[in-house]
Amino acid sequence: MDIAQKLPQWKAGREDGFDIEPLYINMGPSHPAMHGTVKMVLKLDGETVVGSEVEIGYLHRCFEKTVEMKTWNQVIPYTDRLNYVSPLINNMGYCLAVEKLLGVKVPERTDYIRVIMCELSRIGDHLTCIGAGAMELGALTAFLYFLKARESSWQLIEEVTGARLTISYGRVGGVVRDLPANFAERWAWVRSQVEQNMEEVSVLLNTNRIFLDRMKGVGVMPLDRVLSYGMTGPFARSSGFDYDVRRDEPYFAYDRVRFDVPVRTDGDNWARYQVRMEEIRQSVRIIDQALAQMPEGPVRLEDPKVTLPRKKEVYSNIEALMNHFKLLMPGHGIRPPQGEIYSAVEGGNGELGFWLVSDGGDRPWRVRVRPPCFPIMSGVEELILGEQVADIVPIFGSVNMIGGELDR
Amino acid sequence: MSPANSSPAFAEELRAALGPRLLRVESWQGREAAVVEPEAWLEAVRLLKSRGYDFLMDLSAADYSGFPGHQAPPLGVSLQLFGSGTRRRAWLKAYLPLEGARLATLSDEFACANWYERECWDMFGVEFVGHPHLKRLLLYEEFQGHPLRKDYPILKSQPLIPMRNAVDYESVAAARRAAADEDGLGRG
Repeated sequence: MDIAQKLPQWKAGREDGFDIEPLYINMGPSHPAMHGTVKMVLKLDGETVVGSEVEIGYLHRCFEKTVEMKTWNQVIPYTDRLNYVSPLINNMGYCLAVEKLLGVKVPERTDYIRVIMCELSRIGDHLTCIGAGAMELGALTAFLYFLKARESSWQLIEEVTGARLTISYGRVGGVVRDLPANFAERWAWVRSQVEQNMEEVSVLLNTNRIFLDRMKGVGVMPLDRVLSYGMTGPFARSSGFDYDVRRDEPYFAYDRVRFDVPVRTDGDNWARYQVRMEEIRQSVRIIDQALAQMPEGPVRLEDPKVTLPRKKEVYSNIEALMNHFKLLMPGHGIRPPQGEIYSAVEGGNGELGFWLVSDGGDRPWRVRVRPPCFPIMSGVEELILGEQVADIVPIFGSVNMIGGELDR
Repeated sequence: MSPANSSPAFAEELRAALGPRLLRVESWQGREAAVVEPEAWLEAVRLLKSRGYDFLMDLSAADYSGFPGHQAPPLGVSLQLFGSGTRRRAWLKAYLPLEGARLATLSDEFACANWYERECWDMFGVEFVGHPHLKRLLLYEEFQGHPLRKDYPILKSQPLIPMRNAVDYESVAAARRAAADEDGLGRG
């Protein structure tokens, strides 16, 4: 798409006959609004973007090549670093894909724990996206409030997993350990923090003239272009594409909890802000229900071919010790049958898919990640076309580009 | 996986339209992938697109060199289409040789194919014929080889490259000083 289609009123050159030479500007990779890892080469006519090229790959860490050298379980820590704002979703998504390949089903309690942890991550993801987006427009207060709310959710994640970001909490066949005994009380505190800060930020932003002017009608992506670009997640839902993997192809325990999928049709920054805000409320709702429904029971599969035996057993009986080594020695380990699987979960940005190919060995033949912000980023050139330079910042903020999953 | 995921109806439609150019249907755990001849790639995608699979979910590849029991050419390009209305998925595959791997571009059909194909070119060296801007996406232009191929050694190092479009800063500074002198603005 070129500028003539997007902005028909724009004319190259002036009517008085003097041509204006376009100005080329490099925005990024070291630009505070580029979130560190993207470069945009902008072609400007005055303040209007009349062309651009987005360059990615600055955070490429050879994820897909590296994991071909690792065993199936060793991939888990690498998945934490895909979307580092909501690492638990990546973790659980990968484990789910391997479980499907193995053809095993995790205990019911694990499904609920996974739902709870994924939604906690989603809350953190959306809070970061909205908060940082508001900060880039000068609303530092909103950012601080949301970081405060996110901090509470991260503290809870830390209490469960032992880490804030590099959590590696998922395992093929379950999760590392059960939720702590006081989880429900701690969640009540986190919820009050999140709800309070959401309330405060809503009051600050929803009627703020500057914020509204910068968000409404800016960065519009119509539905047909969203479909053509293959966009999913909150970004696509704010343009009217009513698709959510959690509802349409339920996994874990999402078919047993009730939640709404917020959809807007405007497709602008404001719609994306509203959808994310509403999704936080829905995530809170999901966690409340999951906690109420969660049955007692084991949190991981007791299958000697999939999960490690308990340490107590390893130290006290020979079968468990042999089992332990059988799962850890090179050439042994988890060996999914030869085959392929595509498994998708709803990540913070949309459909996070894992395409796994197994040759029957202990290492993956191929791990392909379908990063949700990849197709969205591929549409940024079109999204910012015809907009003002200053509007690139809120538009790019609403894309929620995460370098880790985009560049892998 | 839910039943909506594993509908082989798309394969039957492809068989009716393509005949023997639909080579076979691979089936793994209920997920069916239609393997088509590389020449029929674009035609197959257009057909599926007209049947409601109007959304390109993913396009990638895998190198099956040395994969146990693999008979076809090694480079398997895999495409996943999705019906935005029907919520159904369709998988399409084409196997290409490592040397001269070529496939028709889908960038006229789907806007996001542009980047997916650039990534596929970058990582696997599949040339998408007719692509408007087939340039490496995640790596840099001077990178040698296509790293996700199985014959790319994991410890291979890349040569140092000269500075791109290096600017002669000295002469730029001198020209600036001269211009400033001419304007009578002094040395800025």
